[in-house]
Amino acid sequence: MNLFRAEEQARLFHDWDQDMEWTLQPLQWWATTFATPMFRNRGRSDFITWMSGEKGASAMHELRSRLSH
Amino acid sequence: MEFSLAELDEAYETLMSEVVRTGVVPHYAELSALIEISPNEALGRIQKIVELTPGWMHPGTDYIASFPPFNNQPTQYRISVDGEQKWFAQCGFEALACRWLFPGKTVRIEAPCLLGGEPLTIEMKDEEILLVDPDTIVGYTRSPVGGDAANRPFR
Repeated sequence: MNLFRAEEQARLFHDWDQDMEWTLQPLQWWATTFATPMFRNRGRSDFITWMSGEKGASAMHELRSRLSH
Repeated sequence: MEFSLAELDEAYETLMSEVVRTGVVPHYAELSALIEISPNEALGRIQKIVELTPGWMHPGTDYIASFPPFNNQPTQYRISVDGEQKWFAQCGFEALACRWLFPGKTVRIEAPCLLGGEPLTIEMKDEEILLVDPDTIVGYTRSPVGGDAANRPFR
């Protein structure tokens, strides 16, 4: 789960896997993914309760949907 | 050892607030003193939190290696807040989530590119991306986000 200066560097990375090519995305896409509720709510005083409840399940579903391929 | 959600909330919030404040996730013996529980219970709560979240203990030890979005073990993703560098992000993607723990502050991510070591720099403040240098930065992973629990220490 790394950042690269540009697409050509990522494709030269020793861990490059063509089957995971879809994860090669612009910074903005990953910034938006890591701005979904699962990440925004870590500062809550009841984060584990929130994560374990309905809203947390919804947040995980949203994240998984975005990462489904 | 069983814990209530409220007990896990208390431990999680303390670990997170301490790493935000100091750059280091407390050891279980420190957590024990911070929330006035036994060291054994503090370790148990940490182990349960690690099971529930995409963090991990250093293999074979009782040390927290990763507590996302942060890492206790240094990584190449250095995080500065308002000009002060004392945090490391778990990975390049989690670096982008550090901003949510520092509302209203400028979070700067600095890392070398894994191909050639040339620098990457990103600045974020809440919803805004203030700087991306170079503007061609991309993300890539060959492992699932959130990770396979058995492989977390090694991804």
